[in-house]
Order: sequence, then C-alpha cells, then structure tokens
Amino acid sequence: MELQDTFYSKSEYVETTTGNKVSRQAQIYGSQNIILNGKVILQSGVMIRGDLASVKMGRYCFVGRGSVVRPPCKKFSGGFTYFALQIGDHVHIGEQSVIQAAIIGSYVHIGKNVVIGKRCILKDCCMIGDNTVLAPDTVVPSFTHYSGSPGIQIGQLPVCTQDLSTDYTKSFYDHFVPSIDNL
Amino acid sequence: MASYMFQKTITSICTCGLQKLLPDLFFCRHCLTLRCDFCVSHEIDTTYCPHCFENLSSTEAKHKKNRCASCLECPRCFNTLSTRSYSRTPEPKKPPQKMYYLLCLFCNWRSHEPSIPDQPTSSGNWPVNKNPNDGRILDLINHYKSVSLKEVFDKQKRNTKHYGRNYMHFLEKFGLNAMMARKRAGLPNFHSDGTGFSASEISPAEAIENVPELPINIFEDIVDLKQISTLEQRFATPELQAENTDDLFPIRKHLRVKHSLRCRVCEHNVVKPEYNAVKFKIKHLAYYHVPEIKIIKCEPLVAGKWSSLILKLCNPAQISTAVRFEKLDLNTINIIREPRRLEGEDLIATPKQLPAPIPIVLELHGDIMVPEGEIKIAARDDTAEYDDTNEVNTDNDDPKYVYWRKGNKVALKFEVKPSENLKKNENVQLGFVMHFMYMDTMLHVINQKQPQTVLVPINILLNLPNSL
Amino acid sequence: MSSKIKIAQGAMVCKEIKVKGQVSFGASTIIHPGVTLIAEAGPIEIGENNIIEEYVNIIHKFLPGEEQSEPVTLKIGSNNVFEVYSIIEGVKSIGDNNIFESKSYVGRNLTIGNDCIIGAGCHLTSTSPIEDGTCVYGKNCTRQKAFCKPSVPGGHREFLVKLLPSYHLLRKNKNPIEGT
Repeated sequence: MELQDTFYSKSEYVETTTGNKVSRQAQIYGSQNIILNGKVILQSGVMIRGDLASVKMGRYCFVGRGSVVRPPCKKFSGGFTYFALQIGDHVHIGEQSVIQAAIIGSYVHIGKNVVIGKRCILKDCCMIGDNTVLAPDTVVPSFTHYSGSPGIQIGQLPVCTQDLSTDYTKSFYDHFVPSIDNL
Repeated sequence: MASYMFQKTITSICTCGLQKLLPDLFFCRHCLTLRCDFCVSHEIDTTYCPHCFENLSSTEAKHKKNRCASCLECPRCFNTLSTRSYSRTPEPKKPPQKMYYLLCLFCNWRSHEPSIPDQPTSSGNWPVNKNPNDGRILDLINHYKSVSLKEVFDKQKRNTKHYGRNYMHFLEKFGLNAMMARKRAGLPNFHSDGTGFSASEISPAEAIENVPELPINIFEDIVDLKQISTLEQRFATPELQAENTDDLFPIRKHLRVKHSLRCRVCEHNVVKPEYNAVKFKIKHLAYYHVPEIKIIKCEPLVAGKWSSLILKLCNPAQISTAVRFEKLDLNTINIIREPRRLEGEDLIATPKQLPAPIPIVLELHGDIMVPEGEIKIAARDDTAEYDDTNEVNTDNDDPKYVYWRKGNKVALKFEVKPSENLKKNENVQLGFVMHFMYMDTMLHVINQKQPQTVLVPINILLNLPNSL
Repeated sequence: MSSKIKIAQGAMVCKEIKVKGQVSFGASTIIHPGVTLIAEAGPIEIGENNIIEEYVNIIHKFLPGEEQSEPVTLKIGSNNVFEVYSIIEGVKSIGDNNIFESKSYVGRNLTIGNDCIIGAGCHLTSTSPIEDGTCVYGKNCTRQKAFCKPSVPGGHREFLVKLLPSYHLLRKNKNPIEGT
C-alpha cells in the first residue's frame, strides 16, 4: 500500500532551511548541543535532552509523538556522567518510545511504545518491534528484527533493507504535508 | 515500516511456486527468473557473535560448538550478561585487587547466585558447567564415526571386487591411475580384505535394578515457585536442566552466520555478503530489477460490480523498461518455465539438488481488467530529486489506462469485479501476469553480443480487503 | 483546584511540570520537566534524594464513586528513582531505595517496600504488596528476590544538581502557582 499523506497544521510546525520540521509542542532542551542534519521531523510532545549531553541526528529521521530522546548515563568508579547520543540517517522512531541508546546506526526502524535501554548499540539496518524492551547494554546486529521483553531476535530482514528504509523515510517526509485549510 | 514490509497485499509467485513479497525475492541474472530463500542454496559465509562481533572461521566455530567464547546469556531471562567490577583488598598491605562478576541488567541476576567465584580478569574465563555425560557422548560419537567409515570401506570393496585380484595393471593400461588415486584419496588405509578394521568397543547402557524411591517430603513440602526453574530455562540447557533457580548457570551465546546464496540451477551467486559490513559484494534482488507495484487507491469492492483500482509501478533500474499485462490463467500456472540455457557458457552443472516445485493452488475471487498494450516506464534517476521541472513525455499514453506519470513512476488504472458469491470479511484474491522488459547484459559478456532485451513474466497476486 | 507546592532546601523542580493539589518535595529531590503530579485524594509527600524523570505520572486520585472519602496522604520515601514514563496510580505507599524503570506501571492499592526494582515495561495491577528487595521483570512481571540492594543514585543526583540550573527554569517556593 502506498503511504497516505500525514497532515499537520502549518502554525504548529517550524520549518528550518535544511528542511527540519519541528513541532512547537516538542520540548527541546540544550538546543546548542543538538544537531539535526536536515529533513528531520519531530512531532508534538517529543522531548530531546540536549542539556544532559550532545545529541546528533542524521537526515530523514522521524520521531513520533511523545517520544523521549535522552543521552545515556554511566556510573564509573570515579563518578557519574552522561555521554553523547548518535543517531544515523533514515531512522524512524515510533510514538511514545524512550531512547537512551549510545549509538543508533542508519536505516533503523523503532516501533511504538519501545524502551531502548541505556547505552544500547543498534547497528545499521535493524528493526525493533512495537512494545519491545531492550535491556541496557544490548547490541543489535544488522539485518535482525528484535522484539519482546527482554528484546531478543525473532527474525531477519531482507538484503535490501537499506533501500526499503531509505524509500520509506523519504516518502514519509514527502507525504508529511500541511493540511489544506492551513495553506 | 512494519506494515510497509510485512503487509501481504501484493505478493509475487516465485519460480518454485511460493508466494513471496518483492523485497524477499532474488533475481538470477543468468536464468532470468525469480528465486526465493527456499529455492536457492544457502552457504555459510562468515560466523560471528551477535554481541561482540568477533568473526570465527567455520572450523573454529565448530570446535567451540557454535558458541561465543566470551559472551554469556542470562540463564533466567536470556538477556546478554554484563561484567561489573569492584575492588577488594585481600591482605591489608597489598594494593587493592579488581574483581569481576556477571550481572544481568534486565532481571538483576548475578553470578553469585549459583555461587560462581568472581574472576580477576574482565574477560572472565568463566567456568563452564560440564555435562556429566560428556565422556559417554564422546565415546558414542567416535564409535559411530568408525562404523560409518567401515560402511564406506565396504562399499568401496564391493565396487572394486570384480576387477579381480590383479586389476592394477588394467589401470595403468587405460591410464586410469590418476582417477583411482583421486578416488582413494582421503580413505583410510585398510588391508584389502578389511580385516584390519575394527570399530572401538562401547559398553551398552545398563538399566539400574534399584530405582530410588521418591522422598516422602516431595509430597509434603510447600512448593516455592520462585525457586523452581521454568521449562524455557531448562530447555535452554538441555544437557543440565537444573530444577532449582539457584543452579542455573550462564549460557554461552549462540553464534550467527552470514549467508551467501547461490542459484541452484546455474550455480551463480545471487547474494554474497561483504566481510564485516552491511554492504554486499553481490546482491541480485528482484527489488532492483522488477518494477515495484503499490496500491494507490482502491474503490470499495462490491460483489459483481466493476470498480477501479489504481496501482503505482516504480522502475528501480537505471535503464528504462516497459511492461505488458496479461490475465492470470489458472490452467497454465503450474507449468514451470524451464530456466534459460546459456549458449556457449561453460557447461552448466546439472541441477541435482533442485527441490520439487510446489504446486500452486489458487482460487481467484473475481475478474480483473488489465491495461492493454505496452507501457513504458522511465529509468530511475537519482538526481531527479533535486530537479523541479520533472517533465515526462506523456504523448503516447492512453489516458484510459495511464493515470499519471512522475519520473520513474507510473500510475495505472485497473478494473476489478469481485465474483457474485463473495463471502463477508473475505479478502478478494486476484491475479495477473506482468511481463517486464529486462536488459540482459550477461549474453553480452559471454558471446560478445549486444545486450538484448528480454520479456520476463511474473505472476502477481493481489489480496484486496473486502469492504463488505 | 489550586496547587500548593512546598519545596525543601536543595530540591530542584523544573518549571515545566503539571501539579494539581498539595505536593511537597523533600530535600535534594530532582524533578525533570514533563512530570505530572495529581494529588486529588490528599497531599503527596515526596521524600529526600529522589529523582523523577521526564513524563512520570504520579496520580493520587479517588476511585470513581469514592469522592467523598477522607483525604489520605501518599507518602513516597527517599532515594527512589522514577525513570522516564513510569506511571504510579493510586499506590498506597512507596518505601525507600526503589527504582521504577522506564514505562513501568504500578496500579491501585499496591504497597511497595524498600530496595525494589520495577523493571522496564512491567504493568503491575495486582494488590499483593511488593516485599522488600524484590525485583520485577519481563512481560509476565516475574517477581524475584534480588540478590543485592540497588545502589543509591548519589552520583547521578550530584551530576544533575550541577547541570540542571544552567539549562532549566526552576520553581521557587514562595509563589505557589495556580494549577494548570
């Protein structure tokens, strides 16, 4: 099925010169530490905690309603610190998810209502099903589909995941259009 | 993307007869047909640990029983265990020593629970809980190995029997020496009559006379479910099957493999992964050659009435293509198209291990009207994204069938009529054949011919939701 | 309903929170933005050294039909961590040193002891109290006696105490704001 248009009200979203579409209802802290590389959509209620540590997000990313993107923390023998969170290109994060990973590669799909534990590493081309809970320090290899609580591998992804993901995030961005009565 | 990837609204029928989604199909450039993971041969390319990504050779992996040497899983919830450290001072005068233990960050299991001693190195060398029957199993494996060797030897003896005692000079006479030597290579050196052969002796298993009776307190003690391991936990270590949760030992993590896939007919690779990356050396996928079909709009389906269906075709290839449609004929659907023979190529190995084709049993719930004539689709152009003009020549299109055109995409109008006796809540299954033009470049390589275009037929099935 | 907030010495409460009713924050407690606290069925008393992260909901309401009952105070002990999106609804009481991981849900009439860990995504609706030192995990909310106590989030709190004031507007004690 071809993707349907997702409508948004023009007054709600701010569009930057690089094509980022950020809802005014998104809560973004420490914006000097946040890099959005362009064509990123942040919906309402999204919280990005750039104040804790830096957050980098690639192109064509999408963060759904009410998701929290928060750098991970670690307790060392010498103390406690938060460290940077990196997200690649073409990453889709569903609604109401909590992301505390260290690295998320490119072409990653994260479903709705997912908990990605602290310091997780998600390699390129992987998929996390809806309602999954990934324990802290989990490593998700490429071309795998993780699901469950705790998240374990339940399937494999096709060889062309990279192109499918690129295609999906690009057409999602193209179908994310202002509603007609707001034009 | 989940619905995008797993929704089975539009499926293609693979050459072997299975219904598959387009991203799951391969396209053999030599046979010019579709292949799926069922009808290609799978080979292990590399073995790796899914947690630490250490690559192992296949012999190494076999030696370690396909388990990682350093990564462990929690025996309680099967999450990967983490190592934690603390310092302790064994003697007051010496500097503090770092000790390590295992911890599951999901269910809080610790290596102290089955009383595994803490280790002085982070990599562990965690003790492996040995199977009590290990020796016996090894004996049995060795025994049956030698039995099978004996069988091979006997067969060999039977085959060479009628050459008579003095057949060696025949071999020399006909120049068969090298061949025989090759045949014998790798076989154990037995006496010609097989007398020197003996299988290692094994003792048969013995039943015990006195089976200890159940202790009486097993009926009386109150069962504490928190202390008893679940079936899942026991099956994770079938050789131990600890009953008490305190006796659960960490499990070594299973290794994973990267597959390289090979067409079973022409024995050419269709997929070959690259070492340690998401890239591939070879990936001949249907997704890169066959025009992708997606539903844009479907009018509500009413039994016995024609309604229009608009499908979008997207050409993924760098060269333009053309498609032609045909109705699906259920009578001829099971006739397998012989894979193309390549002239002049090195002899193609006979397809020995081809699985029997799966008979396609289909029921179509209605009639479909497909566009007539050839419809051209432009080549994919990655720079088109940045081009605003995007002019496409639509002069030759029949507006009866072509809804719109944009770059390498074209929307086509189909007409669908579900049959009269359509049941409620049943999906409407319809099919058609799509022939698409494929630029065959392999002929050019082999015969120095110009690349030719070939029409490749693909059976497409639509599973439309019934709006009744 | 107006809101009354009492913030003890050293506590940090971000401005972007929703409060209904009477809530008091103990010393050195940290409240991240996005938190919702509803104290309809009596005041909520939050102890010392707690960390409450984004989008945590602590709801202290009467059951429908019981609106006329006597107000009860909901007491939350010290050194607890409430991670992102955890929901505490109609709990009787919460002890000390507990960790509520992301997206955990604790339902009505539960009593939670000390040193407990409620795992990520666990949905607790039963009323049998959670004993001291219990760890709840997985999709079936398996309860297991923990081998060790969870560590006190001292380092975490100190880090946030230094960091938060430079990025966030904090609530002050003197001017109780009208409820939102």
